[in-house]
Amino acid sequence: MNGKFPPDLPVITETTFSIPANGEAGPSKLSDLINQYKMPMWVDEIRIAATGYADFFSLFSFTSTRILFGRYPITHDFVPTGVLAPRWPGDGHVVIRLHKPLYVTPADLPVPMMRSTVALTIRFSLVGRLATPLPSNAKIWVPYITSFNGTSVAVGTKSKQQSKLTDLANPFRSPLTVRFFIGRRTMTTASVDAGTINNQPSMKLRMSNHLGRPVVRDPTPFFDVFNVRDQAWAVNSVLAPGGYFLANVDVDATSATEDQLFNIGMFGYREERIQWST
Amino acid sequence: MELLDIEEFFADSYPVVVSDSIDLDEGENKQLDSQALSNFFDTPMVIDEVRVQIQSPDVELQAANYGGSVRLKMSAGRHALSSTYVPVGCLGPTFDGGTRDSTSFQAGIYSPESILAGEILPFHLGFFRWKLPRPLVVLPGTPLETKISRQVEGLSQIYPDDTTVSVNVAYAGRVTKKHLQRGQTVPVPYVGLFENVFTSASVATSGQLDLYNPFQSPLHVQRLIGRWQNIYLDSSVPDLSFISLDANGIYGDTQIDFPPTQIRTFSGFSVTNGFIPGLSIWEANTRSFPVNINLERGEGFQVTIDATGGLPSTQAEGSLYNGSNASLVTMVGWRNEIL
Repeated sequence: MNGKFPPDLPVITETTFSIPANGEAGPSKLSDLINQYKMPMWVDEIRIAATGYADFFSLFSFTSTRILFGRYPITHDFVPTGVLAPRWPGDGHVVIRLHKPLYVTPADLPVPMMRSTVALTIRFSLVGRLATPLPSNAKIWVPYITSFNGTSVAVGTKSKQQSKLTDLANPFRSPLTVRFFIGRRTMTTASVDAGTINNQPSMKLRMSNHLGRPVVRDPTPFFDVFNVRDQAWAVNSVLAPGGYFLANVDVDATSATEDQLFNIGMFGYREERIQWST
Repeated sequence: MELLDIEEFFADSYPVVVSDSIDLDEGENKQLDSQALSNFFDTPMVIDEVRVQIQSPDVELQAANYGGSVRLKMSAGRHALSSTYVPVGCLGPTFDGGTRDSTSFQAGIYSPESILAGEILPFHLGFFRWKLPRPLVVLPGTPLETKISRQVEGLSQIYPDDTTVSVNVAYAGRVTKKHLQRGQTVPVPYVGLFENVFTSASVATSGQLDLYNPFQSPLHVQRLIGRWQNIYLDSSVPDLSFISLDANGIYGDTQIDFPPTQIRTFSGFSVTNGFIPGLSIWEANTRSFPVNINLERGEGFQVTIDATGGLPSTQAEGSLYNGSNASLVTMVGWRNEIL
């Protein structure tokens, strides 16, 4: 810190961009995400909001997001927006709270790209504090979000779906601290995942890890695994390099009134070295 | 003296809740029973949460969230917990405390703390919680003085015979068996308020005495909370009237887009890069902006709200009465004091 600014001065930066229907877009002005002091900052929250958006519908069901941080991915390609963070009421706002803040410099910004089936205007914000510049090659924590995306199960049918080995995996050479899983389900037309409890189809999950050890041993109802309020399951465990979780989801939509869809996200952190000298 | 390690001192404590209820009409100021809300044990107590439940009058409002109207001014002994009467909806981040339809578990579309009970219950229930940024230590016999007030919302003009809200305030905490000497240094929570009633689409700026540290010791600011109260009155169809936080419109199906806001410190440092949309600061789930900064004595935040782009509607066509729009910004934190 050059001594001119108060330590830990809170800062918030924000950029807005539009996504066309069935299109993909990202910010055109990345400079908006650089704080006004041109200093490094610790990002405590990454926020994604859809402006003027009705709150009943979930962004999860028809948008997906990819965030790159220089050469480090924060998401595993495009993941459904709804699995970026635990759900809060009033969807249309996703807040990724970083328990291990992300060190961001003007040369290194998290860059989002989003896809959507409907036209949206997105506000992407970084909330944090000014940081004392770290020496080059210092270690930082970088978040990582990946997902297992189910295929739609039609009304009156059943389906057994298994994740690929690369879906809920640690692709890095360092351990991944898995903070939580997020499980979201949606009806493809109404797009409300918690919705009403009655008239929901059976959706059960089994999960094991790369060593064959059971994580969720018996087929367990979705909302017994993922808290019905925020659709999150806090795990706080470490996944070895190359390790993965294997999820098996059994969907019984024989009594459902709408086609069923689900997504399971995995949120964690790994250590990396900062990319640019500050 | 060193700062008391609260968790260590209260490690063998047992839970306790003290509470009191009161009825409030529009414009009333009252004080809750200090004896009921005191530490009546002979050992220290620590308060973890302040909980408020508001039951609306028996009316058929579209939405009733009194979190901006009902306010608390709190102190514990000689230590003030709030600068003034602070809306109960602005003490802590919002949470999903209620539903739009009481028969289902859907997230609240608006007025998230209110349950619109409709045919099931003839009133609205609002739940508000302030999880204190640091637990508040209360010595034996110390009264928790809680003054409560309610705005003049204008609803009594629409429903003249049915305007009383019932409020219950509870302090939830723990009691230990150990004794504590006076003179210990403990954290004491504090909340300051900047409020502006917008009578027109204009710009409002907080004053020097709104969101600042009035104490001799540094104030650690945990967060800023920003909410918007919208009161809509319809004398022709009273049921379409509502009082809500952060919601808008007939049937309240959209969130209010909080006007563009700029935040600076008193020393001139920008927190926001100019004016940015309010919902980018007060993120729409919790209406909270994490700050985590120490303010020295006299230091504070200046918040400027630019509502020149327009305001949510407050009056139905042909209605005899007009509601209001108000921005409510609070600063929540704690400072160290000697017991």
